Amino acid sequence: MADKVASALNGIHQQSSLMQQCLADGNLMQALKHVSNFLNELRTSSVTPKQYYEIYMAAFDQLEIVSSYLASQPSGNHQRPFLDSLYELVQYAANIIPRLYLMMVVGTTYMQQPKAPVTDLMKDLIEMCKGVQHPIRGLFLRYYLSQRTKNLLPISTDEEFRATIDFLVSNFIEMNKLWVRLQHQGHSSEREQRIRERNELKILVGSQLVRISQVIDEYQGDSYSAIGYYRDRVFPIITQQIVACRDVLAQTYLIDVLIQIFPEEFHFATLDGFLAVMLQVHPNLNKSELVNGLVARFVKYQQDKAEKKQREEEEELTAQENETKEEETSEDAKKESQKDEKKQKETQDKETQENETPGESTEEVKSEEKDDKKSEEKEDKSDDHTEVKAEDKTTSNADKDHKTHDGAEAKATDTDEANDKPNASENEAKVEESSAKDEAPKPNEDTKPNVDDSESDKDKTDQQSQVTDSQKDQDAAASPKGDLSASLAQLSLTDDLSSQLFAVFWDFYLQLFESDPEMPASEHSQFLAAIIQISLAFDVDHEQHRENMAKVYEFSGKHLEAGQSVDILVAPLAFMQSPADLKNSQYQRTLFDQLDIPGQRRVAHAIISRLLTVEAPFQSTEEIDGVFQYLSVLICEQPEQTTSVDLGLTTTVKINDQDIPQSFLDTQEQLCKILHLIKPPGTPIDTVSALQYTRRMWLNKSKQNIVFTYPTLVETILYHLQVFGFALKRVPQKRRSPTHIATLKNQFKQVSVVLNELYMAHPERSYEILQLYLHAATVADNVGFSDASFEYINQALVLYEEQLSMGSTDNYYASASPHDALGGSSASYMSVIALVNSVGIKRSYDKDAYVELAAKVTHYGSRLLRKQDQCRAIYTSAHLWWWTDDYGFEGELFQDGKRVLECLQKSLRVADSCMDPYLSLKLFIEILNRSIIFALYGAPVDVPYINGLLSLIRTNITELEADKLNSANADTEAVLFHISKRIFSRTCEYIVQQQDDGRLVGVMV
Amino acid sequence: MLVLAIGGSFIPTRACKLPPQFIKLLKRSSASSNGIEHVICLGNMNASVATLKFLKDISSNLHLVKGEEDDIGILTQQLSELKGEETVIPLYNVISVDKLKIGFTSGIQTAPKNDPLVLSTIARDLDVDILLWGGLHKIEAYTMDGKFFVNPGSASGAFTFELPEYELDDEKTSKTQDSNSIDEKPPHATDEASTTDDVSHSESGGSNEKNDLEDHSENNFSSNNTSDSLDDTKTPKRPNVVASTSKEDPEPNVVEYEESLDFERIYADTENVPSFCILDVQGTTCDLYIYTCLEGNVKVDKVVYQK
Repeated sequence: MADKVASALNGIHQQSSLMQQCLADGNLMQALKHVSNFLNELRTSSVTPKQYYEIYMAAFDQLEIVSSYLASQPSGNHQRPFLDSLYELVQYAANIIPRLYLMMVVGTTYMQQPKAPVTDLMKDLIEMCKGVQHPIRGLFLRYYLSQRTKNLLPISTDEEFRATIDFLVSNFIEMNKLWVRLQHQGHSSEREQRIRERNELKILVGSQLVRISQVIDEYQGDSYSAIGYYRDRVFPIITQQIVACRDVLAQTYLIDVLIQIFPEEFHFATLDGFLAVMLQVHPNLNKSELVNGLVARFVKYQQDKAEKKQREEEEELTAQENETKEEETSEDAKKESQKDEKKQKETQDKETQENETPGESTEEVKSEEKDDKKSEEKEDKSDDHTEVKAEDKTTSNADKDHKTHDGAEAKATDTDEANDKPNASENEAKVEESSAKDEAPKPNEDTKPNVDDSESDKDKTDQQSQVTDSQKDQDAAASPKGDLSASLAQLSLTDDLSSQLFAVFWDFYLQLFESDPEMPASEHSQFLAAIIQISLAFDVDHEQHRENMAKVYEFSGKHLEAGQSVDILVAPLAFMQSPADLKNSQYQRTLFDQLDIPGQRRVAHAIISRLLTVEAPFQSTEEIDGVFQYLSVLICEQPEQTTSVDLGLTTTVKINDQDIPQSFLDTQEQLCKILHLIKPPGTPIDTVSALQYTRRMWLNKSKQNIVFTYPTLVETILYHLQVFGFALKRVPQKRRSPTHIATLKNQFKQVSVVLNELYMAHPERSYEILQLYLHAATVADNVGFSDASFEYINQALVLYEEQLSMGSTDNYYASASPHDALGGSSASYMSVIALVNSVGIKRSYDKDAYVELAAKVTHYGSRLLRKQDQCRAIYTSAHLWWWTDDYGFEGELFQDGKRVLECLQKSLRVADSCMDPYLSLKLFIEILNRSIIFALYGAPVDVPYINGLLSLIRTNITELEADKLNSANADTEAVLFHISKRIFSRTCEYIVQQQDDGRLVGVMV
Repeated sequence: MLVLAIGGSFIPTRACKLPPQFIKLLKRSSASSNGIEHVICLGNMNASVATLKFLKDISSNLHLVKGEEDDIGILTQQLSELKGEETVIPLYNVISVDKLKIGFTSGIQTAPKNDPLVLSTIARDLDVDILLWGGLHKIEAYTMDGKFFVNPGSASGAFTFELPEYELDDEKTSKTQDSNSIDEKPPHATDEASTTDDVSHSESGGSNEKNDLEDHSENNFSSNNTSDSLDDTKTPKRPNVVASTSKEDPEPNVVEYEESLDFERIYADTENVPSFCILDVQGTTCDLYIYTCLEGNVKVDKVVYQK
């Protein structure tokens, strides 16, 4: 097969060089002979569409050379222009394909010249094209005609415009027929291959519709309304063709193209007709996707309009800027809506596992260049495989169609066609891409502003029906030229349409429901979801909307299978503005209950992500219940042990020897974020009560999961309590309300209850819970509730003794090097440090209570298992006895030099008792550094003490150095020893530095 | 070479998200050619994979240390998964950037937290020029004993259980003299951190009226440049002045409170300003850029540290 292409390309190349030679010699007749020769290569029927395209492109390039040569020739005499005679001359070519191509190249070159009989030529060419009825040859021939005439079609007068439209429409109709007929070529076992080939060629047909939309927009005639013309003249003909072809692929693709290439206003105008068409199309068509595509555009349009209006008001004064901006925004909007549609379609695909993917066709018409080849391939493949089923049923019907339309030539080549071999799918994208480049169909980007302009000019003159007017108020708003009063008058009309939209779609759906009982359930839910969106976007009146929703939900409850209503429940969420919207939704709730668990989760996730987007706070417990009734499915969710988890295919995290999917953790994180939105109006206590309510009613439904949500809950509660406490603190003591004090005290007790619940359920999380107790103690201390704070610390100490004191060695940092002062150690050590940090900043306790706690914590430190932990915990505890920061404390800071010295002495003894001399040395140096801190802070750690430490360290170093000579191999020790010496020398440098500033005088460095 | 230092985001326990302005800013800078080489996160990621991924996308040289609320078991697995290799999350770490050594820790393994002398000891122990530490919710940056100490605050503006500044100031007004102050005073920061002209940034030199022993100067970053008023009220025992929140009223006691309590004001006063830092290290010089996000506007201050 590849040989055929190669030989064809070779032939073209040869003939064309001969042709160019002749042209250079001025021998036009001989040149045309060579042209005719290479055009004969296009007569082949034994190549695939993709290969034919290659040949076509080669011929195309050569024909351009001919065309430019012809254009450069003198135009001949006035009576009979040169090209006119030539046009007649080339008709004597023997074969139809070369003849028609020659006619086109001459004819279209002729059309470029002034005074050429353009419309006659157009009519003649389009008429002659009917002579080719072979699908592939015919499609490419007509495509060539459309490419050549691209910029030549006349629209300067009404007559010309009509001729142009007739020309384009007729070309489209014929191309579509050829395209559909291709399906029925060859043996029925090659159906799949035919579908693939047709998918490769669909862009050729779609491009005709794009051309039509461009011409409709460009025409500027008097009393011409693009919308009116489209509605009355173009839409009926095109849709009639689409309906008549009874081909799933054609209908899916072409309807999608129609939706995408024309502006929303056009669709408003033809909505009735469009929906009528949807009732007549092939039963296997995925109608919901197409209708959803349209609905998505309507919704986006409505939202943009609202935004635009707002912006208009802001920018009233700068009219000029306005104009450019509108254009930008409308373009942006288009792009966005495209994106939205794509997304929507993608999700729909996944959800419904439907056969066709019109989203792909949209992409091809609009942004082929950008498309990743691979992804397109994949889509195409899936298309092909699935389409077959749909196609099966249509064959018999379509066959008749095929016979009536078949021309003589097509029949003659039928057998040839059957020989075609399957096409390499990797090349499909190429065909589409390159043809798209020639086409450059970007209708949406440049059409809309044009429409706006032309429409607003005609506002006054055109008497349109109510429906058509709908777009005008937007036009007037968009274009500063618009007549303000006229646009105001039309505003009400638009609203009328808006309120009818739901009814129109609803009636349509009911009819469809009646007429097509076979429609899959997934399509039904898609339709209903789309209708809900329409109602939400266009029904400003909430009462009306509620009625609509009730209708939809009631209907869904009755007619849909359980579990099919996920989309119906998710659709309205895009419009949810606050948690209040989920209250009193009894139908929704009923539908939700009918869903299976995964479906419920999907709805719950959608609710969460919407709430986090709008960030509207919960106002009341009703709203909390309203939302959490849906979320409880997530609250109680248990991490699934699916096969994919077992096989390690899902990202998991090991918690307590159980593989927890990351997605589960993400869900819990989302739930926590929702807690931050609970902030009803009123005092912080109201917020805390609401949070506690949420816990009691919903969060504690799963003891297993509270470990993920309670930390957030507790910290949020503590924050609000702290705010309340600070506010109370600002009131002079005598005037503080006893109720306020009692409330706060009570709330602190409640927190304790929550923490206890968490601890009981999850004793394995003691370290984290200890932190929460310490936070609570800090907050209570901050607001001056010393009793509560003291109690929290005591509970933390109990927790420490019960769970942490025995030095659970499985702590992450337990294996850190003992020499590393900062590397961490066992959980018990880390807990003691946390306790020192917390107790050390408490300022509201009376002295005895504080001393009791400080002594306890110091004692805990001295009971740690490892020597280095003991030593470090004790010298750290020394800080408990020497406050250096008041933290808002009034009065003399608590400072007990004796206890500081005791601590340092004790840690020194522990360090000395270490069996590892290098570790002892390291600890001595650490103690030295602490002693310096205390000395600088004015504690009675005097110069002789520090000097004693210094000489102790020096002695040790000397001894170890002597040792080292004996043990040459002790690498690790040597490194540690070296590090210790470096730290020591840095410490000495530091002391010298301080002495320069007049401190630590007398220390013997 | 740019190093991003970002403090605890506390998502979801204390905040929902990073300010979108920050996300935009950091995403862009990651795309540009002189992008961020290292990302240092000072703990309290709270196992939020989305945030983790965001930081990882800024630079794959993402360094994490454990903060008080981090579940180290979960976080380690998540980071390893994200980086595609076994990763250990330590309590501290040191990296060398150009000719400077930067150490960082959330500070949970020592006590007392945020004590400048303890931090100085840590810097000495790690032998670093710059020490980044976490756990605070307000920016601090000062030079002491020739070393640079930076706390980037919280990038999400998460709430905190630290006493707010005004609480400290309130009490301070009644405490005019503190007998211990001079003896207790730690050796103070030297004035090596120099300021530059092109960025708004206020410096207060030798502002501590009771302290005439030292040449004591600090760089004081406040989001609204009202640091002058702060200097009068700041505590003599804290050589590092914390960046203030803007709405701070130096004399809140004056206002008469009736039974009704003014919560909105407290909410505003205790709200933390989201912040992070970028260190631009060139040779032995480090330009510290401090980003704060106040009411949706990102403000940048600059401080220079020279070793």
